[in-house]
Amino acid sequence: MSAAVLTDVQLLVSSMELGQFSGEFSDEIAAAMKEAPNFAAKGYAVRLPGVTSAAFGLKGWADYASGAVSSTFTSASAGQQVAWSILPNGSASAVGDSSLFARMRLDKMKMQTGQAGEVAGFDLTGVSDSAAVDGFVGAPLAARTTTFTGAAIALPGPTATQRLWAALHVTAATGTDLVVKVQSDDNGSFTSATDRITFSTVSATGWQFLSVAGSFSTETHHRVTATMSTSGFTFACLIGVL
Amino acid sequence: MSLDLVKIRAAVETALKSPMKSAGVDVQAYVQPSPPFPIIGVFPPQSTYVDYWQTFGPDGRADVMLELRTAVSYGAVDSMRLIDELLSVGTGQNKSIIDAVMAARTLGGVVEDCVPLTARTQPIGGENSGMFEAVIPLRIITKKEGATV
Repeated sequence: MSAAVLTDVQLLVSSMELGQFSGEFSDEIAAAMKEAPNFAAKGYAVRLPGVTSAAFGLKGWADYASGAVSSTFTSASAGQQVAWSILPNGSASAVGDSSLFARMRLDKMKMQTGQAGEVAGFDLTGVSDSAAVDGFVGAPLAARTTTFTGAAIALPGPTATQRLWAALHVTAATGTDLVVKVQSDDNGSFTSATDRITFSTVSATGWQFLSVAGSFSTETHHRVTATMSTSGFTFACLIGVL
Repeated sequence: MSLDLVKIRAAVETALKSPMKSAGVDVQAYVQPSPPFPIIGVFPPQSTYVDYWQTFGPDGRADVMLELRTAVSYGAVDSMRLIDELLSVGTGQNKSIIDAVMAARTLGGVVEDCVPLTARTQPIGGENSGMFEAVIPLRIITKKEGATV
């Protein structure tokens, strides 16, 4: 792994890819620190971790074309629950590439920013509504017309205190009955695959964010599969264990 | 609306040629040697020409900076007056190059937006050349469309 210049990042929010409208994103995962002073601490502060939360943001250029960012995310979207995923390899993402995904609430909508002579901008932020997961690309964002079986990802299953998390973004839909699953197995050839997460069957654009509890830590690999009754769909699926 | 620099420069010429004709000024995307004055040439700036990374991805946005250079003969009062007329804006300014750009901001659908930013003037061609030009930087926003950058 080497240092790399960001040029092509996919920012999947709900059922849209916003990277093409944005040149800047941010993410922060923080644990609340709770004061827990005690007499044995010899005069020093003692803190215990509270709940973990995340805040994602992106800034970009406003675009009011039909289906573009500014006509999709409006003031009516404030408070909306979305799946929000960051794919740092962008359109070059392959199965197994790193990603960060979470379920968020859109908390700040600054959809019209700017100044005279400058490009009209927007600023969108969200705060977590569930886990923020350092995960992997299980299915890169792509238009698919038939069955998809993702390559195996060497990702051990969750322990009893962990969960397997997955986010699905469907950005275009002309077909019917898309069924996306996350499977696990104890070998990379998936000779005895087990369905761990099955997203609700969809025939429209949208997003889903699901998880399943461990323990199936004896499993060593995971993959994403998809079937559809009629083609086609453009979708991405991210998976991770936390 | 891909980032096609040749097409963009040609689109600037096309958008301005007709409105500037009434002002008696020719417009050339690529200025021929020893052109007849007055003339508006489309040039890349000495500073950044293309900023490829305004937004992410192969279908993201890029900035293209161009300059409109309006060259006139220095010595003639009428020529210097023409520069002022070309740089004026608003009602009745029918020789305004600024208003002409603003009336064709997408350059016929070739780019997403094109706006003039400022205007400055300077002598050209060395001392006592007798030539003078106005420089108008243009900021052009365009989509990369399937680019590798």
